[in-house]
Amino acid sequence: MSAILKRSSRNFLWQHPWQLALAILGIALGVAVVIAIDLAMESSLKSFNQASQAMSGTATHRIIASDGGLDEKLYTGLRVERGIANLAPIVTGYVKLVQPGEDNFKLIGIDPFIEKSLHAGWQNGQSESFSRDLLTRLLSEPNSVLLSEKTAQQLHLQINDQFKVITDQGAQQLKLIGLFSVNDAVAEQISAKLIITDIATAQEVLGLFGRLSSIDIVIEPDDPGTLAAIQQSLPGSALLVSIDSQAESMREMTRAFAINLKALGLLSLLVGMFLIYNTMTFLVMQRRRLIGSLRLLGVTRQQIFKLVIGEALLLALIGTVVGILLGIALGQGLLYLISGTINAIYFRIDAATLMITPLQIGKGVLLGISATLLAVLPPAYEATQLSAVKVLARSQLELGSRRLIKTVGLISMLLIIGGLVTAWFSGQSITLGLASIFLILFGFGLLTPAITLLFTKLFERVFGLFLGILGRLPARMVAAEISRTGIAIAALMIAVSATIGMDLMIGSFRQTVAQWVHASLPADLYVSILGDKMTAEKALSDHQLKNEIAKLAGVQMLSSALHTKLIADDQLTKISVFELNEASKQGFIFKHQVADDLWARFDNQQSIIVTEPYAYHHAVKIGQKIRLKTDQGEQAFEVIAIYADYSGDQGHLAMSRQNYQRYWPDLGYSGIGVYAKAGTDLKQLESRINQLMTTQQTVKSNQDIYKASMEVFEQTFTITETLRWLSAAIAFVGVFSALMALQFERTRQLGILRAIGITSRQLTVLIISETGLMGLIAGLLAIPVGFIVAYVLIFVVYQRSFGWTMAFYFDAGVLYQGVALAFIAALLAGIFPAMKMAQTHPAEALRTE
Amino acid sequence: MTTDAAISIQKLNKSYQESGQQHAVFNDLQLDVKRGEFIVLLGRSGSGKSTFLNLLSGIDPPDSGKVIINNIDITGLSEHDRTLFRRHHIGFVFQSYNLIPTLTVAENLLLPLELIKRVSRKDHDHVEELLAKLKLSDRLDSYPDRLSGGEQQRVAIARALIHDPDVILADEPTGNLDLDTAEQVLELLDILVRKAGKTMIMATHSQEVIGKADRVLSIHNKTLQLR
Amino acid sequence: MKIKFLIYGLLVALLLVIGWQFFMPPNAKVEDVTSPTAKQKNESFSTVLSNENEGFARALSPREFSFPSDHGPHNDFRSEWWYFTGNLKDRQGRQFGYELTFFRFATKAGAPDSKSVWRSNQTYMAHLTLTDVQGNHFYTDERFSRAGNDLAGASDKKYQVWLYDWSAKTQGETDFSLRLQAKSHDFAIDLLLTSPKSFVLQGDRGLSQKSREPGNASYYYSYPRLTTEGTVSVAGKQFSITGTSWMDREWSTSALSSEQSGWDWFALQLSDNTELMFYRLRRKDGQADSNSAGSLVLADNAKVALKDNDVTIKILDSWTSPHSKITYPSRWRLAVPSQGLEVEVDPLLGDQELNVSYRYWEGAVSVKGTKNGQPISGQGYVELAGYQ
Repeated sequence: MSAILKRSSRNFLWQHPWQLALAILGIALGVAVVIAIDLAMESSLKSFNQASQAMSGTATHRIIASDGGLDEKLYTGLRVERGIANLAPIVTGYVKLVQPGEDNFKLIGIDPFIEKSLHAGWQNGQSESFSRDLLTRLLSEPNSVLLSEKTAQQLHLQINDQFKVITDQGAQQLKLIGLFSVNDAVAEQISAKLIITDIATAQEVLGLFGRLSSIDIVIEPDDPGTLAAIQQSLPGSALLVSIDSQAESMREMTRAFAINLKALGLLSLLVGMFLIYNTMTFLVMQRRRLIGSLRLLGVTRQQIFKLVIGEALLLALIGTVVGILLGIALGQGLLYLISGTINAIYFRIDAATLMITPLQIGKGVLLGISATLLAVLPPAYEATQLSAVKVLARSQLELGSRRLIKTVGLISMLLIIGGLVTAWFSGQSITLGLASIFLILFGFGLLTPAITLLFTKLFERVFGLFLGILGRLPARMVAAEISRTGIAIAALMIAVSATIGMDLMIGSFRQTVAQWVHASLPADLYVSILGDKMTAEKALSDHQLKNEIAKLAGVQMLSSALHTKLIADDQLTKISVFELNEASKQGFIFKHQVADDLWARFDNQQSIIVTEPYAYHHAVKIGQKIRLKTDQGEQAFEVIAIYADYSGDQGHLAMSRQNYQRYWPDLGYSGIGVYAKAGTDLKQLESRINQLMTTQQTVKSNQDIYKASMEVFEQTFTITETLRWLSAAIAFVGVFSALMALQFERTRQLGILRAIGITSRQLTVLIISETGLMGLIAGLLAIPVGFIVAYVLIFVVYQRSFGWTMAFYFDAGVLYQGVALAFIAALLAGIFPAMKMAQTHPAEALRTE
Repeated sequence: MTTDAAISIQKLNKSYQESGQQHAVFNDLQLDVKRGEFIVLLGRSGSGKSTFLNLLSGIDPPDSGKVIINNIDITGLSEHDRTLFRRHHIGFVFQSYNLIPTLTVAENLLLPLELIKRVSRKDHDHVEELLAKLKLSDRLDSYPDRLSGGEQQRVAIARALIHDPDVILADEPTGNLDLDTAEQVLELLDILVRKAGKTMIMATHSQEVIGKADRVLSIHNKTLQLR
Repeated sequence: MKIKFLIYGLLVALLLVIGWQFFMPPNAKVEDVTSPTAKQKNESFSTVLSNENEGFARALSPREFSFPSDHGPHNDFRSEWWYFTGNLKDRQGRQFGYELTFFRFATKAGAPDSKSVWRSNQTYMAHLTLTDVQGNHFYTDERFSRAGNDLAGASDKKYQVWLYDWSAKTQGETDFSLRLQAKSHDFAIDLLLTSPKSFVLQGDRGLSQKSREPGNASYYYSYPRLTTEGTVSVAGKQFSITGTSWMDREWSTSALSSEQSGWDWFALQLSDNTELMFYRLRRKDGQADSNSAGSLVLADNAKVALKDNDVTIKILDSWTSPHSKITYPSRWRLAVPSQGLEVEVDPLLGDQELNVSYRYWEGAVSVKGTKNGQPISGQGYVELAGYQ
């Protein structure tokens, strides 16, 4: 293609910097949100993986255990009796630094003398002499520790300095005897909050005498014998997992969460695509004459097509690069939100760092460019259709698009029906559930121009009746350029209906959870007992505390819960161990009719009840048996009920304390419910209980717990809210850009209006009325669509993602807000172009074209 | 100051800023137009014909000087008042018709009326009447772009006249039309405007009009000269 | 033109964004290839044996030995070892040599007080070697562990010393027979040791002076001839073997003085049912050290003490390690003129260097020579420590 030809189009581009900037912004924002979510999510998981890898190092397998930890004699047994090599015993726990910042550090106790082939990630790059001398000192000097060079620097600690940490055992003095250096950024991040010490020191500091947290193992792939030998010697509380499968199960656990987030990212990209489409269409439309002239000069259709696509590619490239940079910045912000949520509901991530891989960047580039090309295909095709001889009048183009709208209407109906059918048949698949929402949204989006035409007719009638021709004009203008306005309205509608849908869903969810939390807090006061369940004294002191509370005046009865993990199906499975009284039994909301003897069976038979998400994920039915690993071999527990629980999406089991104590060691309590006698002053009782407690224990009223629970609920939706507003913001930019383009295209028409005596104020009102009307239509349309989205989210996606059923709570406020959001957004988006147009000198306006 | 003239232009100066340079279009331009007079303005493209008409209608304000129409000095008015003045007193006919594409033929005619008053049944009749006169009765509810150029320009003329302005400003009204159609349009303008006793200033480079004009002026040396 | 530059600029920026990952230092774990230098290995060895000895018991005067408790650990002393070496043969005459040694080091004097069983001041190290003469291969492995949590240790109730699954354990009520079990990745031993000859106390009634300074001595007894049978495994193949082992037991707090650099130790079992043990201490200045000593155990278990000047050793050859580049003596003519003994000591393999955390040469040797004019043969082990 000739340089002149390119220049003829480029010059034009430069003359519309606003449109150019908005198109780039559209691509950039769409790509940024997708990339940011991807980066933040992957980085959270990778941080977790790498952190555990840094701990496990070269290990291939790990023996893990429930909260009780592993008996340290298991290790001796494996090493000495079974003669299994390449084992690393590990004791870990968290300590809080007294100075400065009171940061939580992970304390890792190791055995420095194990095989060199099995080393942790942080040991990479340390010299042999470091290993020999320092590790020997570590072993022989109590409370001696190692820190990474950087951490020591940050804490202003020199070798041989002492520093204080707080643990379950109280304050402890540690002595820094050596620094290890790390050779890459990831290891640096991971080692930032790490204290390495000898296993003896770790047991002493954390009070974990007789226990190990885990045993890391290197097993050669061609050595199934060792694997089997280890399996044989494991007690009921221990589990051998491969490091890979552990990482995999973490990923699996957060899969639903990740998919939902990514769907939100795609929504942003979809709205971003509209922006690109809009701009490119504008650029083509504006150059009808130019393109016509070029065609006259003998420029072929292919050349025109290439020209438009070439421009789009340039925009895509700039937009994508900007988007990636923006996405990285945004990802940093989202990382805290996402890892925070994962921390709250899935597993602990100690230090999440944004990790950018070429793959993810490549994905972003591909997404940005392909989305742009997809969005630019229609206008590029349109450009080739422009005749060389006669430049089509705008209205004729519109006539074409009106015909198109009819065809599209048919397709959109198919999409919507397809979406509903997909939702119905999506089964367990979250992806299909979300796909159905996209189909429905897209279908309604395509239907929007047709519906807009109907709406404009109505508005034209109504306003024309009162306001005459000038009143008819806004609706006319919307209808006249339906190919542009329709898509702007569709984009706005999609964003707003997604917002309405999510609002309704979150509202329903909130209501459901609130009722559940409320119902499941029958006690007056709750004592929560933290602390490491591995420590031997915990059970004893817990029982002591419970006895003391029971003796307090005003206490009628108690209940207790222990939240721990047992091994079911070779997986650590959360279980709540309950000691219930008549009142606390009322705190369960069952998902089905239950027989009168349920509680008797719960207490006295080898039975278990499961939460709704557990039943969903494991396809558990009442009457089925769940086999749990005990030291006496596997034991079958009959599922006798399924109850509502929204505390986690993986679900858990529950059994009576009698049942638990038959097979498993006493780990004390996680919480004690206190039921006061009628007329007791709860505040007083609370302070009396408070006096009995140590720092690891807290007492809270059911009101406080309710509040705290709801706060956690809100916190988990922060990320969803944030992303939703991001896509709404992109939609706003889209509508803004569309309206700018639209008004720019009609400069001349507005000039005529001015020439025949319409004042600039009237013109402003006219334009704002038009955009307001567009917003109103989008808002009105968004109501039913939002409803359908909410419905699919609640009854299909969330139920399948997380196994929760919830009731649909209708909130009219959400609908008003949705309509208002669309209306105000469009109105706001109209203000700037309206003012710009009103200020444009009619003489100049008339000169254009 | 009152004069007999429908339009009085006094010491009008107008210049444009272009690439940093002051570019004078008119220097001390003087003109008096009598009521009912038909003035043809000749001149090459770019000589300032359109600018002159824009100055007359108040679309463009002059740098200095006065434009007095119906004893009102529009150069002394604010932009807003100039617009209000325009909607009452000026009718425009453009080279490229410039009908509002989103309004039907009838609505295009009603819009100027609506801008100055409450439109009544009578006005609708008036519109229909006028369109009948222009042989466009069957086009009442058509959108402008369904009409031929000649038809569009006839509607444009009707729009310029519908609200009974004092002055009609026509900017190359036949510029886009073939010879026959141009003839018809000119005929129509002549009849309608003259009959209504309106003052008309028409910028054109079509020689055929000259015969019908009361005065023929041309822009020369940044001022008007009689031909 | 401007636009072109812009595009190129953006392309470059894009490439940089994608490419910076590749230019970053790789996240992949870098294997630790920094192995200790020869200097480090050898220094560590001598520092272990001459270190700060505050609070430890010293070998100052002869003592009563009592068994089985003296087979057990003497935790008050800094270091201690159970040393098993032997020459083995399978039915086809395939020759093997082995070494299984358990070392005990106290990192600190005084047993610590802690509720954690991992807290221990006793550290064990074990070395296992197998010399496969026919396969021309020397196998080595080592283990470390603290004594805590029963991962390593020794018993004073019966003969038992272990580190993980490597062990020397009595098979009944008496001290012998003793079973040695140790396996590494590609070799293993499983041997039963019985004692046709009793132990012999080395030095002065078991007090073996290593340098002039009082206390720079060890308690030292040996079982110079232990009948051995069992199996050795090499590279997946098992061999039923018989042979003769030697056991040394020694504990001390300090042995070498600062002028001493190491020793050459000979433990030879001769065909006339006598055994010769001699250690020649080397000084850093290259002079002979008068503390060198040894013993000759006669067939009736009677001991003839050997002083420095009772024995002459002539080095006949040397061998330079391809691993450490250290040159060791490798063939000797050893003569005890007072006993009419003159033998040539020849390593079964040149390369019997233990390239483990503490580097030394310890290998099976064959012995040939004359005693009082009569031909005599034998086998044994030689240890060369402190070479640099």
